[in-house]
Amino acid sequence: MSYHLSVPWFLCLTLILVGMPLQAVGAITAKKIATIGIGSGPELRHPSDVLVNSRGEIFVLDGVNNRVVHYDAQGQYLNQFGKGGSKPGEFNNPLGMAMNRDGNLYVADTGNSRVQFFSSDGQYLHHIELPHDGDGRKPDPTDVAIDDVRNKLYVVDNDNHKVLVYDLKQKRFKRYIGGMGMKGGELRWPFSIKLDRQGRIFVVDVINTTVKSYLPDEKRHFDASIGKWGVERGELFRPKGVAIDDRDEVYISDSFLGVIQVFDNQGRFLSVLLDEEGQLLKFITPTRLHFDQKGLLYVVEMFAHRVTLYEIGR
Amino acid sequence: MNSYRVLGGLFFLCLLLLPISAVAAPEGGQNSSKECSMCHLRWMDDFINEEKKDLLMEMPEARVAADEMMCYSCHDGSIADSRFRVWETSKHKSGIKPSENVTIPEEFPLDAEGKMTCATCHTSHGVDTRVDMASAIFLREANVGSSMCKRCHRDKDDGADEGMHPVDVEFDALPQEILDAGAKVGVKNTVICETCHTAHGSTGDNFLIIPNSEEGVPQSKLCETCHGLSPDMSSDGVLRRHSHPVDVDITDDAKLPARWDNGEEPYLGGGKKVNCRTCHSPHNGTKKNHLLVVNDGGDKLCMTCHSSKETILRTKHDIPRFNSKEPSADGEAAANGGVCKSCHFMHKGYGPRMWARQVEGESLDQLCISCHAKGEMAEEALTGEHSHPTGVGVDQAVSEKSGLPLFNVEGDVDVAGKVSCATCHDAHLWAVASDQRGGKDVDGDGNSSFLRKSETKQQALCRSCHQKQGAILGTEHDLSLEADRSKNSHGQGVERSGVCGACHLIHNADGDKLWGRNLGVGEDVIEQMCNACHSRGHLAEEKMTGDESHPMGGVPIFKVGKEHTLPLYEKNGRRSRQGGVSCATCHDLHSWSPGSERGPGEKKIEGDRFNSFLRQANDDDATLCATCHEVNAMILGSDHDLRVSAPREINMERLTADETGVCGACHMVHNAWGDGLWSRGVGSGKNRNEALCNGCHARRKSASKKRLHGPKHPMNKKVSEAKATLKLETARFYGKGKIDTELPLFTNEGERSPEGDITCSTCHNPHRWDPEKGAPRASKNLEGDGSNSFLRRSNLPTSGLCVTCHTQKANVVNTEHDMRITGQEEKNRLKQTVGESGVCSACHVPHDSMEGGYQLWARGLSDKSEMLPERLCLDCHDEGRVGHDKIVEEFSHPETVLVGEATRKKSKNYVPLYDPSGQKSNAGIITCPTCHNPHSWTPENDRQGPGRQLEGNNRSSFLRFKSARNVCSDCHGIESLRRYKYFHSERSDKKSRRRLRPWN
Repeated sequence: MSYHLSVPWFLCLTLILVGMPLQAVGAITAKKIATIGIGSGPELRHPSDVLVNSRGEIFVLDGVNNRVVHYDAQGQYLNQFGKGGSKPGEFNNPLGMAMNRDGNLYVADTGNSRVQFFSSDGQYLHHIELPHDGDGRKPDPTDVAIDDVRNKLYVVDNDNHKVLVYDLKQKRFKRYIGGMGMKGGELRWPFSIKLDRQGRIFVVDVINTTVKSYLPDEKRHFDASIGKWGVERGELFRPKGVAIDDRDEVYISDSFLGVIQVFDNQGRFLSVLLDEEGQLLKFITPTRLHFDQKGLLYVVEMFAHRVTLYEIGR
Repeated sequence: MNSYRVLGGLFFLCLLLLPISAVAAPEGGQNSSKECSMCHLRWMDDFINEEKKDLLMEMPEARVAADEMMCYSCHDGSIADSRFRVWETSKHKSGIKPSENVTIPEEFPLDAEGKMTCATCHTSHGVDTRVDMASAIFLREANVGSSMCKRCHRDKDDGADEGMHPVDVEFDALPQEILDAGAKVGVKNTVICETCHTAHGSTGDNFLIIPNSEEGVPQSKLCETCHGLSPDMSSDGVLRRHSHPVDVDITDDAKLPARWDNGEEPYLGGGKKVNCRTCHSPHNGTKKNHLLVVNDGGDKLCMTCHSSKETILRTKHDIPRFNSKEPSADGEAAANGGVCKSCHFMHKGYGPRMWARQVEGESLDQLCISCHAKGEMAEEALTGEHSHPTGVGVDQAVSEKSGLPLFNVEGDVDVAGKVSCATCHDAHLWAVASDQRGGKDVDGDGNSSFLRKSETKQQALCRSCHQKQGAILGTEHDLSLEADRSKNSHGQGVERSGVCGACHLIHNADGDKLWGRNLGVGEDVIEQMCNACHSRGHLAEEKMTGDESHPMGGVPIFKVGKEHTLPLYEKNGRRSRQGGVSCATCHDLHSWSPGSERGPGEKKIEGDRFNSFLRQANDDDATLCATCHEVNAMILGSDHDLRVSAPREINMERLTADETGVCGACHMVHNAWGDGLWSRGVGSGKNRNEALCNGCHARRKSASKKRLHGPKHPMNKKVSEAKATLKLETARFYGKGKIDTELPLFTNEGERSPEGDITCSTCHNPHRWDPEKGAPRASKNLEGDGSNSFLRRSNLPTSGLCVTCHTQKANVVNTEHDMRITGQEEKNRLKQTVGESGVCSACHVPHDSMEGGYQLWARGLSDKSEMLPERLCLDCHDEGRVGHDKIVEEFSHPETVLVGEATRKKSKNYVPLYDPSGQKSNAGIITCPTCHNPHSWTPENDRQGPGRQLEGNNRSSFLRFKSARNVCSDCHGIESLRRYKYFHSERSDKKSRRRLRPWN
């Protein structure tokens, strides 16, 4: 949503809002049911992402330790893969990952400026070199997302303020989304990316303190900005992660405020996550978010070196 | 939240913010207030709805821009990734008040409590550091050449003279390894604070860019990265370099003070390892003293850790005391450098152990030789050619037990290493068992001389490694027991030299084996050493060996096709598998009895077969002798084992077989009474071999029951057929090696020789009852047969022994003259069947044949003829006898001999004539063997008989010739056939035959 408001437009909006039937929005609560990374398996250090496959098995990107840690559906440690380095299969402070419909993993190997592809059991398959920016800055992939329907791989290039669009069939980058700026679909240090069921793209635009959504359509791709700058309810200070539930509601984590807020996919604020007693639910640097197939919300608490699992209630 | 309240609030907020938004947030522009509030959280006040105050956090009271979590909110990877460098490694101290050692300028703010925080050094409004955004660290001021570090740490650049590691010193280049680790350098490659330290990102202590002292990491790695490039220092490890080692355990004898001279407590790296910091303090060293922690860089520091080395003082190795002007390799006089530096440089040594003198090579021995050499400081104490070897290995089990150090190629103690000078000598300790320090002019001995152990019976330096040789104590070879007053070549009696030193000199010996006494005579050096004492007029003259003793030198018989366990020796006394027998082959000069750990402790003790310094006891199995003479050990349990057959018999030394052992009953190894090391009496006989046998096999002797009564196989005679065969076999014995079943010939002196004669031992092996099975156990006076009886080859079933020589006679096998075909139950005069005697001995016996010994006949004689050959034949070919089927009634051929070709000896078809005594004679008459060869069924081929009874014809029938034209026709012409039929036809009756007698 643009900050540029002309008087006629504002008056029209005011009339529309006044004329709209008032819609009831209930509080959204979350009940903590498990913690991953403490008690089973190796100690996590500053984890940055989490994914769950169709069998409920959990993958945590333990970036400072340069590895992906694999847990079973009960959160018990199974194995891990990756180590520090720049050879195939090695990582340099990776920050994000995505999973395709086959359960294979794409890892944004940030420090090595590449995306690596692994089988579901952690075998290295191949990697994708990323294009350098026009002024020579090297790519800085911080997150990836897969559109299995359209065979698209989206790579967040943080330092270059873009989302690179890779055609998995043609095996080449075709275009990008964003670009440095504050207007419309422009981005400043985008960090995370998630797709909803329709393939709509949600990008956490950290310094613009918003989450921007884009349509998969190549021509009219910018859709909406969700959230705005501030430290009050419905406002974002350090948005870091985003996840979309099966109601197409958008969950946004704020690592500094330590909260998760919920919006509809057009940017309307719905609620901040509360605990079962209706109190503000606080997290320690909540970063990436992920919904599994059961609708459980996984929250990466980076500075607490853990992933917490919540059941959403209303 | 109530949605109506939200919508209402939005409406009014829109109204309120309209003018602000229109000004503060132009399209695409930057809202500076918002941007500032990204970090200056308190500035958010301007944007907070004071009415709602529906805040998601508590606002901080302080108006400082940022705390740690504010930094982390961007440095978590979302803007920059500092997770590892700042939060996972050691970082510059924050959250505490500055120490007294630093002075914080006012420009570097502390927090409200006076503690250091991120913002003390960092600000997003810092100076232009001329780096890109990716590298910017937003310091409060430019940190050129670590200048910002020095603002607080103000005395750290005072220089080495003030005890500070130098900074701002220019280098051509710094090692790439340290640059790769993140080191920064100043202008012109100067060393700066950040060359070694980093405020963020260190994985070690003290913010060092390379861990330098933690447990589990190479100690002093950071120091070595630069200082390892110095000359003669290797950066690839700590042991090979010629500098004081680091990353090693502190010595056991270290006596560390509570504090060093610089006020610091002694420092050890991780795992209590020695580290560069143990001796040097990079920021608190003593002044003008190489950053050392003590004021005195000499002996005091060294002996703090190596306190036990203090014993070097006042010894010959106290160089400053006795050779004060002696310069080290760097030219510094010993008096100036001190005791330790006379031999060791802490850094940049010239050889192993940081050696302070010029050396060649890496051997530890070279250190000693650098002084103990001609023209050098210790030239009066040189080691000569015949000295204890160095550079040799020691069995690891022995090494571990010895308590003496071995050294590997790096010069370090290693149980799998080699012997070095330092194995026996401790250069820092003159006398291990006393407080004596020696001094310059004191001669050493076995109790001093820098030996690691005193060479006395109690500590026994030599025996530490030569543990088996320690068994010499208490034996007659222990000269201290003998109270010997003789001295070794160095003029030392046993009380000074020790037991080992009485015979061996470790340095400058007279010859091999480090021999330290005179040598006697002998085939090799070993024998010469023994005879140094075991000879007339010397210490052990009562134990001399005479001429008739076990032979020495040469190739022992056991070397043929058999591994041996006794040592052989070259002439020079060295062990060699190609060597010969020497004294030490049978004797272990250091052990009174096999396996003993010490001797009986008595002087002049008489030994026996179980001790006497024998390597192996000559026990009831004759183990020692049998080691070489394995075949002869088969005598055990036979009648020639006198313990079985004559236990009361005594040898020339009046010892019974039980006292001497089985071999010693007949042989004496030393001082025997004749050839063959014979220790018993001898009997009659031209050949010595025969005489030895007759020493027992004679009347009133121990083997009188087995003496020979009657005629016997000829000996010492020219038997051409036998000699030819035996020469061949005997020659083979000497030419290719021993074959036990060969039949040797012997000279009259009893030596095997192809030119010798047949004697008892040609057919008999007195040490082996059965050529295939050895001996029966305890079988006194067992009656033998053709398969045993000490024969060299079995005569069963087909007389293999006999036909070795009598090859032509072998054709009798399977003929009707082979009793196995015609008379298996027939017995010879020894009452043996052919199955017991063999084919030949059914008719002939080599001993005790019939009177006169004709043909060694073993059967009876017929009285139907005067001709002896005929009497042999008719004994069987007669009624009721085994040859009754082949009786020839008219057997006597007329005496008249018609001279023909066949009677000429040189004739190809020669047939013999015989006189009545059976001897061949041209004046003889025709008799049975004239025409018949009783050993060959057919003359046509050289083969054995058909294996069954058979009616012969004129081509067989034991006739000598294959053609009818010969035997008969030579003399009788065309009448031959008729005459033959007359005498041989079954149809001719006696009457008609008489009528047809052609000569009637």
